[in-house]
Amino acid sequence: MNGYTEDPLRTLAKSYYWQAVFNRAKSLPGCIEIFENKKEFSLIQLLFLQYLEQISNLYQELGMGEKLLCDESIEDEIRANAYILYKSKNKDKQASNTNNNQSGDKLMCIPRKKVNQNGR
Amino acid sequence: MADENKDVRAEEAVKITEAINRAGELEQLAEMIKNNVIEFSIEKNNYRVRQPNYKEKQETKEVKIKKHSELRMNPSYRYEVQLISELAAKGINISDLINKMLVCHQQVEELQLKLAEFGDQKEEDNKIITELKLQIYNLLVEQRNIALEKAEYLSESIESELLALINSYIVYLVLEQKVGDEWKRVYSNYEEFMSSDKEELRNQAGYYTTLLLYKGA
Repeated sequence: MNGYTEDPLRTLAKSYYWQAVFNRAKSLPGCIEIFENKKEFSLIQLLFLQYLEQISNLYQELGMGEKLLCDESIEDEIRANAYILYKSKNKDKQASNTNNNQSGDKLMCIPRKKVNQNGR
Repeated sequence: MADENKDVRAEEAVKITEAINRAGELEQLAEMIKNNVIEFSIEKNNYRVRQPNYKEKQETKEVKIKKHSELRMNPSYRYEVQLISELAAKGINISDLINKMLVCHQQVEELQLKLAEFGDQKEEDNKIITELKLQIYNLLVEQRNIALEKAEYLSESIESELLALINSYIVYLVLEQKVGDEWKRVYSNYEEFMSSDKEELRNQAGYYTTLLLYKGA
């Protein structure tokens, strides 16, 4: 696609090396550090962490049999973002359905306000 | 045959050069994110920018407050809301631009939801994927252009002036040059920094400092 270039930070985050470091850092907390600083993260570091987590989660979902993913769509920034939005919209829908189903029960639980003699 | 071989060699050479450049850029990027310091060199001089410390953030805040007092007393400077009303009187409606951006955003989301349905397919097997990607990309470019147009209209507002001041002031505070084994601030005061003719140094330092900041000072 002419003119389109992936965010280089994402390119770096999806590399085998950084995905391996990220996953090991998660499973061995305190043993492997991603950055030299342990606090006061900069904008670029936070964006990098976000990409690392996003890509790691996508591969995990693919491994768990997610039908709407493949290696190619995870690699591709536009397609991966499309999937993330699709999933979040579906989650929102599911949450609102659950809330609607429960709303009747919830109303029953709301304590009724006592009405005083003046009807207030 | 010999010509064909020459072409193949040239193509392969270009591919390998591009791959080396890409790898070099990524290595440089990895170096930039490892801590809160970014080093760079211009004309054999080594420079660095770092995250501002608490004292420097406080100093920037004081400069901002002082500048705000100056600007609000000067009638030729206007706040964004004032500029928006003045622009509206001239027939330029900022809320139209905001609405256009929202429409773009909505269209991008609709296309993304369609694109996600082909998530398990290869792009070369389904041309709709390429079409959808292209439409999304074009809308994102349009959205960015509208945002730039809006920023341009409001660039003379007090808010924009203050933002520009904070950004350049922080760069002045955190820009250092390696002299011997020590890192020393390049400019002794803000005026010297602003009047310097080393535009490349200012631009690079400004770009790298933006990457390091998370919250404004």
